[in-house]
Amino acid sequence: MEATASVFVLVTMALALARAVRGPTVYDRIAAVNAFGTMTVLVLVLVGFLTDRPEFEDIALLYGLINFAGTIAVLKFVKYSSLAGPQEPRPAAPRAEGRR
Amino acid sequence: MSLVLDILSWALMVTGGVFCLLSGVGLLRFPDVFTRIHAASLGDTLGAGLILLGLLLQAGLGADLVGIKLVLILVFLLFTSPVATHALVQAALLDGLKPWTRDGRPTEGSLNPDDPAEDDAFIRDARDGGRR
Repeated sequence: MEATASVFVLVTMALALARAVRGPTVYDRIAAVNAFGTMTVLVLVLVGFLTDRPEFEDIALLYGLINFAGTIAVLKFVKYSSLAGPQEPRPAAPRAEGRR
Repeated sequence: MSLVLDILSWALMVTGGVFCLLSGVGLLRFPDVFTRIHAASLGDTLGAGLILLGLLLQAGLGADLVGIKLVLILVFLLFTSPVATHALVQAALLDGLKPWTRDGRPTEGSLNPDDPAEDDAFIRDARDGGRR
């Protein structure tokens, strides 16, 4: 039964990949890659159960964390063209001595 | 008892797989960004949640951390996936993309700053707050 669910999830990954290639706007691509990452987490857990290797769950947990952080980072990069946030000329703060 | 658990787990996993498949089809075939993101979020929460619940019925909450990790993955997905979807939709709206409608008329909350008919205070606040 894990195999059935794995096949469903793999087909979903193919569909999401097709949308990521086709998608007219960049948000389509980000949504497709986010869905692809979630499906990757599911495939990792299912393969871990299929092959009776529970270590795969650690990888799935880590992949979920990285997927979320990566989606937010890519969105921020698309919005501001920089990972540091909006680029505004900021008044120079007085530098504290002895601080790097 | 074990047979009942197996049947229940099988049903949950197949239902979750079908929901994942539906979200993939929607992601590929829906007409614009917002509807596609809607379809994708369906698979993120419902599909993943049902599959992980089905696996949890097999693993059980034993002392070998397998079930605990499944619960951790489930809780983490349920927290982060709607957050990512919300950020994605808000970024798309602030970028000026128009939600698709069947007859082509714009919806109430279009985020066009040049549109004089736009007087939705919530949308205006979101736009100004987003640009700050």
